[in-house]
Amino acid sequence: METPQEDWSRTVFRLQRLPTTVVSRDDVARLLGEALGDVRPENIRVFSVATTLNSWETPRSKVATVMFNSTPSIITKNNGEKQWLVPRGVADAELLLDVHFLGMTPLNEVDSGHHKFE
Amino acid sequence: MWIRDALPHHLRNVRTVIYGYDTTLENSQSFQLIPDLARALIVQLETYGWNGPTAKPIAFLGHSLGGLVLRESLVQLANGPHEVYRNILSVIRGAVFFGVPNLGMEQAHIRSLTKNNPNESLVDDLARNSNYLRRLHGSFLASQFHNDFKSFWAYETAESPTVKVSRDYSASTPNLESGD
Repeated sequence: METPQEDWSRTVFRLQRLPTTVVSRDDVARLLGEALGDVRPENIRVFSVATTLNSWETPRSKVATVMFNSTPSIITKNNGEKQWLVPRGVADAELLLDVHFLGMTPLNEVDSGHHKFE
Repeated sequence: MWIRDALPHHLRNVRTVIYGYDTTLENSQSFQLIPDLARALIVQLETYGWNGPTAKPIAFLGHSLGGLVLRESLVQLANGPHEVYRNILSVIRGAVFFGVPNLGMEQAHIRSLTKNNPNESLVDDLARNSNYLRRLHGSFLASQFHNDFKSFWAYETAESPTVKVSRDYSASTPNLESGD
């Protein structure tokens, strides 16, 4: 199902494959803004940043949830896709945006010493 | 989304994780039934190590169709032949089911989206008093869960929108979309 263009400002996106060095929500907005090139970081609202559950990754990448105040062209050119690769100008370092949220997505970080429940 | 924005602030020792699966009804080519969706969830739990010795206890929140998938998963885990299944079940402390159509739901609006698609069988299984739902209910009651396992059921007391079809026949399914 193609989401009407005017709905993109109300759509929550998942952002995967963030480098492990990304820690804060500002880090996420800055990196994604640079990669997209047509949306300023202040127009990216970041709601969560967490370490992926993929234990086979070393180091583990981060996953975030974001919304856009102004929609990037990679999304508005959409032809019914539900995920988009965002190149970063670095080899093998694309970010992955999606709206399908398939699989497991952690939404917060808990210190290992205090982590009691999922 | 309260499980992302509010819950971690109230329960600081809890990591919240959402599980998304394909529930698209309109133009869907999927022929997965609830038992298939349940097996996929179990595979994910195994893949991410919830059958291992360091796994943290899990409390599930199941909404709408997701609650049925969860219920079917619990039945499969309780009755499956594998050691892995028992290990996963042992870390599941319980579940809160929100608005889960345990007895089925009205079909007319959903049928308008799935007509002739492979996933019509999934909708058949969600019909009021369907054989599948009766069987699932019986299997759930008959399954042996450990003593620490608790279920809670939350439901609405007013009508809510399920599917809207606009004039151009595009549709939205607010109760079934993932990532809400």
